[in-house]
Amino acid sequence: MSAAIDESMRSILCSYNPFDDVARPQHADGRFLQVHVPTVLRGPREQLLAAIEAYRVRQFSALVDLPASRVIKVLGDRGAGKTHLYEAVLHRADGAPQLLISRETEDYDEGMPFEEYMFQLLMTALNGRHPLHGYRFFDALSGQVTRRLLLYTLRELGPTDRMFVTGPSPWRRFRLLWRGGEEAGRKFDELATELREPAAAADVRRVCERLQMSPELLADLMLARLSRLEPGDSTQSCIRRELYGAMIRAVMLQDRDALQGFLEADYQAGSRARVLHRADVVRQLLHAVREVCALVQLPVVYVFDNMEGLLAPAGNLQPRRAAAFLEGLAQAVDHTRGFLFLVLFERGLYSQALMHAGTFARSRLDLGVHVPGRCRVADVELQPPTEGELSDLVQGRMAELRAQLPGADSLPVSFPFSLQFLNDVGQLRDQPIRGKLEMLREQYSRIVFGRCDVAVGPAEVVSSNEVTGQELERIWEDALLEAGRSLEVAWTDQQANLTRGLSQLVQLALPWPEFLPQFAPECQALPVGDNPRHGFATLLRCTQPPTRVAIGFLLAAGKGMPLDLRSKFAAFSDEKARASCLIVLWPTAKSSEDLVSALPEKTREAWESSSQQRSACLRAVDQISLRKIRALPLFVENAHQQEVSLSSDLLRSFVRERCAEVFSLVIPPQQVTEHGN
Amino acid sequence: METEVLFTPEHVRTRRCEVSPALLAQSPETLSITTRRGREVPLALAGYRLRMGGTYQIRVTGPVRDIRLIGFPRLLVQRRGDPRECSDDHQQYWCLEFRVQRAGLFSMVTHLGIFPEELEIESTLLDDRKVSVCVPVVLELGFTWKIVLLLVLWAFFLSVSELISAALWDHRVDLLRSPAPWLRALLLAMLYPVMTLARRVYGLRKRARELQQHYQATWQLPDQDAHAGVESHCI
Repeated sequence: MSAAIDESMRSILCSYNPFDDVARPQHADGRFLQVHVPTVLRGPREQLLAAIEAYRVRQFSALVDLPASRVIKVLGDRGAGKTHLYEAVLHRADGAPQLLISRETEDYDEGMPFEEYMFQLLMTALNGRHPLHGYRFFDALSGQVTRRLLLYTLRELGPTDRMFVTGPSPWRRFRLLWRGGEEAGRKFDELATELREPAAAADVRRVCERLQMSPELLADLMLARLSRLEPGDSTQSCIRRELYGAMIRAVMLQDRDALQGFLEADYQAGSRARVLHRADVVRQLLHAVREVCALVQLPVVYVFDNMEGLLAPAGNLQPRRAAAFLEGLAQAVDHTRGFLFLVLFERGLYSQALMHAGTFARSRLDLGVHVPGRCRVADVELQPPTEGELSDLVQGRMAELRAQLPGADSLPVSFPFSLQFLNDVGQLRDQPIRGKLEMLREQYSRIVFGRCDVAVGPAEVVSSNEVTGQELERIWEDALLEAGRSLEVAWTDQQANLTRGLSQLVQLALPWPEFLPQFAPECQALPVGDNPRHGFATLLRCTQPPTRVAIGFLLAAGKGMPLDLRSKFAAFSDEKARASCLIVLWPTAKSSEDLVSALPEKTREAWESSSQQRSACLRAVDQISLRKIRALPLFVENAHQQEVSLSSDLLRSFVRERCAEVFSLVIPPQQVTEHGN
Repeated sequence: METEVLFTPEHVRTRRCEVSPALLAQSPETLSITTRRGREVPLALAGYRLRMGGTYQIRVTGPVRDIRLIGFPRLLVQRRGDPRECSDDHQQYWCLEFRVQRAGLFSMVTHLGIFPEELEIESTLLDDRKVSVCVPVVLELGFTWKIVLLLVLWAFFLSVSELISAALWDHRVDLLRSPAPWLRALLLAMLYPVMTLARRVYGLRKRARELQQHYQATWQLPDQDAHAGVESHCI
């Protein structure tokens, strides 16, 4: 059954079981490279990498140079290695840059337009860090784009312009009337020569400072060129100006909030030519960012893993959710260019989900990607590993331990298993890779530990098949931690998540005690108005007294704050919301009675002009409540993912207890009714 | 009523949804003016200073397929030959030769030998886009020629004044013997270079000011208080 194990080896082999890692977690744990064996799932991985390469644009001068957006479905049974495959693509051996955007399950809402969802994911990914190298994607992109913009600016500066840039003194100016301008130009030529190399993008500011050129001055020149070449107040021009301007400021002025400024700009105010719908703005925002990514040969890939969590959060497929997701994906294929979607589906779930999708979606999902030198890739099927792959897997996982063993070279490749055992396991055609790994783990334990680790004492057996309060407490704490982290990174980006969290929170806590206003069970997180950045509100329908209450978060900072506030007031005029009362939750430490007076000047003016003859109130929300609201969708998802059932009463009482202070924020002012009286 | 086919102009037929022009090069990598032997031409605030009668080269580097001189003073600048691709110290560049001609006598006298002009060079990039660059130049009369011109003018002035004086005052030769006309002529002769110098300074400064205004209009942001109005946000 097993290769002979020398007793001298046993102490080394006992240090750990290399087959313990049988499933990859949804969130990276940093252990991927330790458990990854490149030969396993090589075929599907190479197919996917080739498809991603097809989205690396070598020559880009027009929109048509971008390949059409397409979907590749990665299908496999549970435990077939879908998440591992995604991580293998993420940790690609050649290290070529790519932007893989993975979704967070709790982010998806079937009510939200798919392109908005895409844009939010894209922005989160740009704001996030590279999983291996740790740099922020936006910074890397900014460096490269700024280098190019600066290079073009320097080249376009005329011979006399270069003298005026430095503002010569009167005496030097008199001298320059005759000659001597060549010296002034040489510095610019030197800088341009340095910037020719793409590697200079790593630190453009330092290169400028080394050549004694003021980064601020150069930033002004670049911004001036930008306004000259992207003139007008069309939305596209405004978006491009803001995006490239943000990149220039981030690199040359080291402005860390530049991306925030880009996101908070009002792209509709400038557009006098025509009134643009929210979807048009989002489409153009997506295009502007995609354009920049294409410029630096960065393929943008959306990876939708853990589709069970997305389409069947409570165990059963939600038909509406599945249809909305697949239709949205199909719409994105039609309306965008340059994006690749990898959807990692469990085979059975995909068949079920497809039944709810229309022919429009089906035909788009099957288009596939044309990979040069290969056939069209539309589906990637994950097969169980063969005997050969299994042997490679054993060697790969054992490599570290074998290196420590005396006489490792003379050991058989299947060590510590027998060849027969590996062949038997490899021939199990219906067993996915996870099942085979579990068998290897068991066998390893049997051979090396003598089964000592698999014995479970009676005290450890969980008697109940329900989630306990203690278990919920642990999940809640984890969710709070996660929420805290996401709010720390970019809490102003959390409009949609907080709005959704609040609606979920109220919905879970219903019905409320009688002495409180009664809400109808259908709470909704809605996009309101035409601002895709800030236009979100939670809509509660109060039955007693009858009121439609919209609740929004005032999260923006700086110049975006009045804009954020105005987009909340769109809830009164929005067709879907038709709110009669608005509650604005402002994360502030100010404890003033009159919060309006504590608002910054322009935001206060916006409040005063918008709230006239409307029922609106401003409430302060503390950071703890904010964290709880953000944590709730994570908590609910994780709680439902437990393999034992979850009682709704337990969940309700838990949420009521933990989030008691949040409920006071959503109670509408008493005097308002549905008719605004 | 007769109907007719809708005419689509040539330039809009192949219109594509272009990328941002800010992300594309709007000029070749480098553009300079050198002498025929490749030596640098003096560069001043008013532009490259080119001597009348000299032959110069426009040198363009970068991903360029062709260059053309499309804007230039026709009376003063003459293209010489077609643009050609050259190589110097392993560097490839496009070269276009031109000659600065002497202006007519009247033009020289009125301009006092200085002509601020502009050369417009169009480059066709490898991606078939055409970009044009304007290079300011000052076309000047060389110093030797100015002396010659000065002498000619002086002599011309003296002889004419002699004739006129002889005709008007009945052969009064004593006037010619008097130092006054000579001194006047000498003064005028001295005045010319001073005037030329003053005019040249004035001309160069004026041109420099124009170019500075152009620089400000092109390269300075209209709204400098972009950072104003930032509101604070706290939690």
